[in-house]
Amino acid sequence: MRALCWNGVNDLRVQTVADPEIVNPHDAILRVTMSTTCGSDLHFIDGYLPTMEPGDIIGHEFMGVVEEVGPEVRKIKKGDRVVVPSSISCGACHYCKNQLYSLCDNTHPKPELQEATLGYPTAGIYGYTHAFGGYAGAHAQYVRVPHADVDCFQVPEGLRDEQVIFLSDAAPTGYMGAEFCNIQPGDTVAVWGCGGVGLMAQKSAWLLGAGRVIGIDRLPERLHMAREHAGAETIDYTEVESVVDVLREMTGGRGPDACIDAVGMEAHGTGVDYAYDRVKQALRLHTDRGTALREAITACAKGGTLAILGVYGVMDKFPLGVMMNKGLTVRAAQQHGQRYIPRLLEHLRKGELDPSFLATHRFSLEDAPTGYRMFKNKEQGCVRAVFTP
Amino acid sequence: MVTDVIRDRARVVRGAGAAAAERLGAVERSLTIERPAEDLYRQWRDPQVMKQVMAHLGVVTPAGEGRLHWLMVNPTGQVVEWDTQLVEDRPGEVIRWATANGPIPNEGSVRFHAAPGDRGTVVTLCLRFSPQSGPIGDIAARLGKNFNLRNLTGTALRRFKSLAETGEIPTTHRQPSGRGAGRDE
Repeated sequence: MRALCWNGVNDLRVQTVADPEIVNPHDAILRVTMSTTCGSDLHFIDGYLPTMEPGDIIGHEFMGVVEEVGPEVRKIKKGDRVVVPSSISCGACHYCKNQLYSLCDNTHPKPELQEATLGYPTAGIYGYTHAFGGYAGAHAQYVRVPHADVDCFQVPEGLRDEQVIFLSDAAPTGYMGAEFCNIQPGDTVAVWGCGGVGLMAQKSAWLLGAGRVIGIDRLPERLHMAREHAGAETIDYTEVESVVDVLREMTGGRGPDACIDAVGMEAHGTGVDYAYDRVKQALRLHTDRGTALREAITACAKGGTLAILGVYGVMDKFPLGVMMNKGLTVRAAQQHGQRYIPRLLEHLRKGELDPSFLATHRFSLEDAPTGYRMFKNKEQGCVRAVFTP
Repeated sequence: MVTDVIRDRARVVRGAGAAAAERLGAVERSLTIERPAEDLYRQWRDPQVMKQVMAHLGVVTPAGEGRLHWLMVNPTGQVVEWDTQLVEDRPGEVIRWATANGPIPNEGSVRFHAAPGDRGTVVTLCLRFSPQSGPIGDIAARLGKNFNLRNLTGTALRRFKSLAETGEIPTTHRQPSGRGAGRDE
């Protein structure tokens, strides 16, 4: 089959590889009908997230049609059209039973790689470094899905791939971020980043009862989307002296009740902190540029909530004392997609949350390297590139 | 959840043997598994389960009443074999074994006790490859320099847990990749 492989920093190639096969009894093989880029992929494409190996098939946000199932698969059958969350979850361990699916205890084939850094292994993720299991990714014609009965969600009829694809990752990630905020009626929620995840967090905040939603970014087309599609007020951080000051004034001197970081380790910014991060990251002295996260901590109302959806490594100059003295509640996770997908399918069916506007650019799988280039450089207003094999 | 107690590592040996004692010695690690102790005991006594759980170490096959045959190929391609004999067997509580013959004296035990609340069972695996007498350097040489008892013990527990909780062990074996012939081994 054809698949998009990582071959080194900024070196993606579509190659011919073997077809996946059923290995474990709960596996299914999917014929991928659509997959999409994710900002978190850029971190290893740019070489900031380690443990990639040349030849790794990437891609963790996808949907498809079931081609074949293993002998222990009961619910899912050949021909089912399904969407699959990025984290692989067993459905049986303590974490899965408590709906903390991305913390699954039983899907990491190389747990020793994570025990060293996290203390305990997390769930495996498709096509997303060996630290997260080294599973073959989904920018391919076919993909193997372990624990198919737990991780495949049937798509109701009448929905297009562009509407459903983002339920694999961007939508549940954004929705989880909004849920983390424990939104009370009338709360103001500020979201750093108006990419796929940030826009989904903004839309979800409304669904969960926010009184006001503010999106922060620098790209005019993304700010436009936040206003048009997510009903958010927007701040272009390159146009203002201080995002923190603007947010304080917008909220009557209180600050946003909840702040969501949908940016991660390659934040852009304007000030001295940004210059410091940029140099240290370029020299590989630390992994993270944390402008957005630091700003969110400072801007957040006292006693407020900070939800971290962006991906980070290890960061220095982290304002822990600010967080502590302001009494912030911090919540973070890789998305627990299996918890949110049924709810999101219902919102989608009712027309309350349709993420299809994120798919600004469409490519064949053969042109995936071009798609990633445009996505990375935000060329022609690219928010998400979707690939069809 | 995982507690590691590394005991008996202070065996004093000279030269290369000292490093070997560090790597071999005795290791005890625990992992919580969401199943009753009786089920886990029964699975550990099943040679088919042992074969899967210990596949990262070598090939384990039944060899008669209470006996298992262990076969390992070290990094230099040398085959190392031994038999173990069950020496203690208390259903739902503890299983203990020791080498019956072979050049690699070793022993092990697995204990089961209830985890707090509804968290299942804490399973504690103890493996010891240090000889009661004789040079440890010789055993270390036979097992190979990559032999790491602490990792081996942790991996065995993880594999046992996944098999007990889900009926399979997570793997990326034989998956496609852009390496070699387009498929990983």
